Amino acid sequence: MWNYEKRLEYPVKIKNPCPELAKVIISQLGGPDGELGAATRYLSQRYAAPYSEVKGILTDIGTEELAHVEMISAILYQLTRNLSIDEIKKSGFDTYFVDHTTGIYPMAASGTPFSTSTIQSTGDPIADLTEDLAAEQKARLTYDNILRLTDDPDVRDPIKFLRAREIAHFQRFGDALRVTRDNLDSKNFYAFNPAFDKKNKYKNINSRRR
Amino acid sequence: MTNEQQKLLKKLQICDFVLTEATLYLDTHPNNTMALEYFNKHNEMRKEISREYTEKYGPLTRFDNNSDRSWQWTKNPWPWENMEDCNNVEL
Repeated sequence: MWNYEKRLEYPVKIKNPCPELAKVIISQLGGPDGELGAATRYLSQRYAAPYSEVKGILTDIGTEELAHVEMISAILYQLTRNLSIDEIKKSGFDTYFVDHTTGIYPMAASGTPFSTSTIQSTGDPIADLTEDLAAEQKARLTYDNILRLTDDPDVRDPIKFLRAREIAHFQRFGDALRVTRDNLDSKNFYAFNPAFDKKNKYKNINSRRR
Repeated sequence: MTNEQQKLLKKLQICDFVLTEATLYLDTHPNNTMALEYFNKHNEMRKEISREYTEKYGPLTRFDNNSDRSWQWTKNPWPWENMEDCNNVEL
């Protein structure tokens, strides 16, 4: 069960609209390594998490990603306020405007609509957590590239916050992977999928192998 | 999950659902005093049930932590599983 809190995780206060910038930042909403994909990934994966620490971290990071969806949406909203038709045409924002006006639509900067084809939920906690580590790095580098594309301090400040969260999440997913491995056979983590193989079944697999 | 815990959880779910419905109604009828009264009454009930539940069975949200010795939040079971699910994965 979820509840909504009527506030941003970190403030977004952008004085100067800039539709060119909105066109690239939208990738962190609905792009291949965006926040919507991150939330969907972790909140789907948690059902295959076999250990309480891992269920907790996937739930809590997944929930924080929803707050990041809101922050990116707030950035996009503020970057596309009060635009004249002339500004829309000159900035190249017209290709978005024609379908969505200045509404928030999750898509990549390339124009590809949001898709779960860029995320996985494998039912195998080692594979899932390894994907999550990569996902946090990919989101971090996307924020690095966004920071290369703007010198507006009003935009850079919340983007830097989001970038730092990617690194914190990477570290916590590292812990979650360690917890998972510590619960498995150190000689062969892959002999047993703790989300699928059951204790007795595992014994059967071993006896069959012998 | 004991029978007693299940009963209290059911009470919470009922009360919470009443509040969910009342919220949606009030969103579009913000000055309806009957609906407001209805919401406030159940909100008080919910607070009491949630206080009793967290005291007895642990946190409902991460802000309900009530131990200074260990983090209770991640403890099994999670809402989507039965108690038995948590015991059959240990090697």
